[in-house]
Amino acid sequence: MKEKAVLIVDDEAAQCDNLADILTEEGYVAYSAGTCAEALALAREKQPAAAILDLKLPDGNGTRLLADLKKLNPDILCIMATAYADTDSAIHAVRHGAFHYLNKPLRPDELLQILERAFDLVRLREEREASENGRKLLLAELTVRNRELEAAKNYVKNIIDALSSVLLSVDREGRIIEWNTEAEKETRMAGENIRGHHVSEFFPCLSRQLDSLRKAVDKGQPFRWEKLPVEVRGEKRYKDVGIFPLTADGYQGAVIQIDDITMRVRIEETMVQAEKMMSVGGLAAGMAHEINNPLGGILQSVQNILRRTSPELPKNEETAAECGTSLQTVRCYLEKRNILNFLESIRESGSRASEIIHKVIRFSRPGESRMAPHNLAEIADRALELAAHDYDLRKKYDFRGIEIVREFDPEMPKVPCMETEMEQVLLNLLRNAAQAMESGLSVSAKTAGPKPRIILRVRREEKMARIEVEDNGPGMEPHIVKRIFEPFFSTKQVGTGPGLGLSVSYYIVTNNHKGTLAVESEPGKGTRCIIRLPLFRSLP
Amino acid sequence: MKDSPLRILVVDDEDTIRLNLEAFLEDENCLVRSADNVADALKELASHPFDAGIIDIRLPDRDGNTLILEAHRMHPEMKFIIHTGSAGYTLPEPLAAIGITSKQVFVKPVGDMNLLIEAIRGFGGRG
Repeated sequence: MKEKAVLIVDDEAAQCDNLADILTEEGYVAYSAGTCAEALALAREKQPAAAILDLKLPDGNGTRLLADLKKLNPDILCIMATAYADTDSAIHAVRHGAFHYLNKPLRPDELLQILERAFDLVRLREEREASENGRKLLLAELTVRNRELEAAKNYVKNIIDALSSVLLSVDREGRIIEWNTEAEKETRMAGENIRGHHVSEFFPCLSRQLDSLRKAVDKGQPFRWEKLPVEVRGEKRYKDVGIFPLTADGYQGAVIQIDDITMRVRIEETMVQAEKMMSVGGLAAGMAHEINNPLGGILQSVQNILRRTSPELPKNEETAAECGTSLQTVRCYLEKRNILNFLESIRESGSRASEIIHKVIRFSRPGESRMAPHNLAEIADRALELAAHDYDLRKKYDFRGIEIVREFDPEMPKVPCMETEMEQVLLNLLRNAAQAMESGLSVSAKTAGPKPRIILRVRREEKMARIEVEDNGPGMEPHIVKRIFEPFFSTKQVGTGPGLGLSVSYYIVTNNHKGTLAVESEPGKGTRCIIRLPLFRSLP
Repeated sequence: MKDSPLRILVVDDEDTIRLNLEAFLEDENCLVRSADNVADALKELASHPFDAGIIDIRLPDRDGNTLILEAHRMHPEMKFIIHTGSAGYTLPEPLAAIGITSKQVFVKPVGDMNLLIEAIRGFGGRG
């Protein structure tokens, strides 16, 4: 404790000295003043904890001084010394903040007792102040700690926000407690809006996993699901979901991790598709040899038969004569019985089979031709020529009856591609378009409906070349569009083709050229095939 | 040419192909001998001279490439047509080394056999 300073204010110096002696003896430090002015000066300088004030002073009265001292130090404990006659003033002083009053002449024992009580009060106040300071100190420390905690919390939050997974902590029933930014993005809800909500409100895919959640929490065992199919805003997506129980400190809840793996699944599907194609191709290459031999036998036999019944070889005439007839008679018979036409059909069928084999083989040997910059418009024109020729030859479709619209961007740069392959792809698409319109026409009245038209477009996108083959044919139902790239899937009549055209095209565009091939179709409106090829080759 | 008909060896294990080639070539006034395996072909080569051979690659005993190399050693002037069912056929280095080019490779089915005889006559003109 500090020194026990007491201010004595009395205009009688003897009285002051007497009191000071008594107080000093008792361990107090006494300061004496004879006037109000002196008293205030001393109080300012020495800051006494207590004061003994005479009510009557030469330059004022004690009550007034009391008020002034209180202004300097509101805690000062003032004992008013008063004559019997002035008791009322003393009581007034006590009402206005004096600690006590004593009648004059002061009795030392009484004064000391009161002073003792006063300083008890001072001590108590000091102690209280000390504890108050302690509390403040504690509070300050708490604030610092809180800040540290906040920083640590933010750091952990940063970590979980940096993860690309959706992370949610939930209680045993699936109510959301904490979440990361990815979860906000996924729910399209910010901040507090999702706290306390049930997890299945935002992630319907989890509604079937709630039992597992409880089990995970109760048994303390994590659960995982891979490739959970979900509908997100009408789109089919795939999620990996993990439930990891939080069991420390008796806590009953779990962390749910959700990863969108749609991209990966799609890549895998593409790979599977490509592999399927490869296996079809591999199988085809193996079969080709086996089929080419008998095909050779068929075609060459037909050629020999036709030659050996034609007037061109002199030996034919000779042999006919040996048999007692003439080549003319033999030919007459063959023609009348239509045999020459049958032979021609054998030749045609054999050629067609050979063409199919040839296509299948092409498909199994990608990258035969080299990538080089080519003018797509030229390739497209060549494909158009081939298509026209193709249909004239077969007399199945009248390609000339189809209006061809060419919309080629004149600014189109050359595009790295394999010329013959792209020609094949475009020929395929043109052929499909022509056939689709032909079959559409045979269904509806041939005179009604729009005139068959194919629009061929070549234009540039930022980093891709875009080729479109659009027809105004009958279009396709979505379930057919879905299967259109499958090998051996065909909507055409059996015998028209092996159903490989589009899957070969798909393979050429996506695998060999790293481009994309998409089909958009609407029943009754037509079909549009869109090829996109990279304008720049990526480094291997 | 008319004075001395082309002497041609046809080697193919597929009977239909072999018989058709024989018939066609005979109609084209060639002298044709044939075999359906390498061993018999070698016997033919040992006992007869040939201007050209139409050789299948996949044969039951050994492959046509080997047969061609052997035949070339026996008759350095003999020319060859490779008549194979395999679309993936690539000319082996040793065959290229004796001057055979991809123009002499025909993948079955060869619907028009004139192509074969034209190729053979092309050799004659050159020689």
